[in-house]
Amino acid sequence: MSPTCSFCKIIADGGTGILYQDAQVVILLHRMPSTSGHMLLLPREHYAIFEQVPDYVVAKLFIMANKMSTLLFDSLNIQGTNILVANGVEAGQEAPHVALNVVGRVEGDGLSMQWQPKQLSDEEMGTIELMLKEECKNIGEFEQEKTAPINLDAQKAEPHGETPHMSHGENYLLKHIRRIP
Amino acid sequence: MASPEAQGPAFSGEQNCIFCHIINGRVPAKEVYSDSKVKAILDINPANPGHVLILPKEHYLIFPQVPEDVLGYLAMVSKAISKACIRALKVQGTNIFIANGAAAGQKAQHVMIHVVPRKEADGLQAFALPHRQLPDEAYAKLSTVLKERVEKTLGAKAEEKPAAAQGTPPAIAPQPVPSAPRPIAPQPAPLPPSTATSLPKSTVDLDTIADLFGGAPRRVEQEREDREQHAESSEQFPYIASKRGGKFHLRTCPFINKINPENRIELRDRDEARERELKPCECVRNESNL
Repeated sequence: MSPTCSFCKIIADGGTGILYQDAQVVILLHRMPSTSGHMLLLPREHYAIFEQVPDYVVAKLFIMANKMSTLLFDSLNIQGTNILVANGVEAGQEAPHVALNVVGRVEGDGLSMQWQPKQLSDEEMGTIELMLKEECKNIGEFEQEKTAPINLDAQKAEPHGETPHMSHGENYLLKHIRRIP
Repeated sequence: MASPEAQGPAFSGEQNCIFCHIINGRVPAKEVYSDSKVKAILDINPANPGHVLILPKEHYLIFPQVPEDVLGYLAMVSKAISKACIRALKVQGTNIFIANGAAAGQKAQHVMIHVVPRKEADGLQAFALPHRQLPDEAYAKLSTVLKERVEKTLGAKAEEKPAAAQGTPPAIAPQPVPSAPRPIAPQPAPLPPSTATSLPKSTVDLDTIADLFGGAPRRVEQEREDREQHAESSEQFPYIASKRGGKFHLRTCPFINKINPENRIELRDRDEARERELKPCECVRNESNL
């Protein structure tokens, strides 16, 4: 949570723009949209650049973006969707809070998403391939969500207050303890 | 002449998909990363030097078909590749981009995530998102409509903040790719016809929103009527084609949205399609594998 970040403020205050929120992500409707149905998906925690966002939150953001794409497709008369992350000022990042854009697309809506391919020589391509390959060797384990350690005492006190996942764990653990030999 | 089996590992994926051929090593490509689930290659028509395509090794035509665990994994790899690009190529930023549908710039028949390195003054305008004015009223209306839809689909209210900030969704564990190709199951539609009666009547005037953007959002009630009307005919005419096109599609295929309603034809079975000399679309060919 950053005190100067306008997105953090919106997340904290709520408002008409928030379409959905859960523990990891918040979905807003963009106030100055590029097209019909322009949504912003933000991680709840404040992260300035994409690399700082934990892996499991990144996964969740894209999964939600996919669901929102389908939802937009069914709600509005669009022909396609784009999911775009602008990572860095040079890439078009406008706010210091990581955001995923989901935009509905219609032919002739004025957005391009097409580029003039750059012609690179074989040598250049080869060099880039080697440099990236070398760097990508470091790609290892992805960070998973840390589930809270199970507190048996707390669970005994309120068996119904837990999520289905936790209560299942509680039942089988307690069952083992209470098992009559 | 050596039999195909003796020539190497069997081909898995779509025969007509060039990216499946690349994944199987039949077509050369500049690979920068590969593991059991994904393969990352350099785009031969790059927007910028170092433009990487990240492909799932299993074939999917469009993103709504991709299972959550695969999509989550692709996303995590994209983040890692973005980091690698910035480090290796000394660029200042990246764009991570997905094109869903031809109107959005999807050119390939195999889903992929693009990672494009960005530098100051590189002249790339493709990913610029212009900001347009939207009157308060229209914004509020659109917000209400979409909130309704989100609640119906995801079952969560927008105002309710989650009670605990810990482990609600299941952890996304990397799973080994199943040996048999997974059948392409379409994502369940958010509003199946059977629950149409439970959808609250929308009090929002969607035409106002249409005027602003030049594209009419579908009226909820109209949709329901259309679905009921077509429910019967859907069973008798499972295939759709265009008078001008060369292929026939399933009703679930997204490409039928491109067919002009004037040219749209419905077919009873594959024999009719053959009579008209129509070839099966990818969706139809996969149907026989289900």
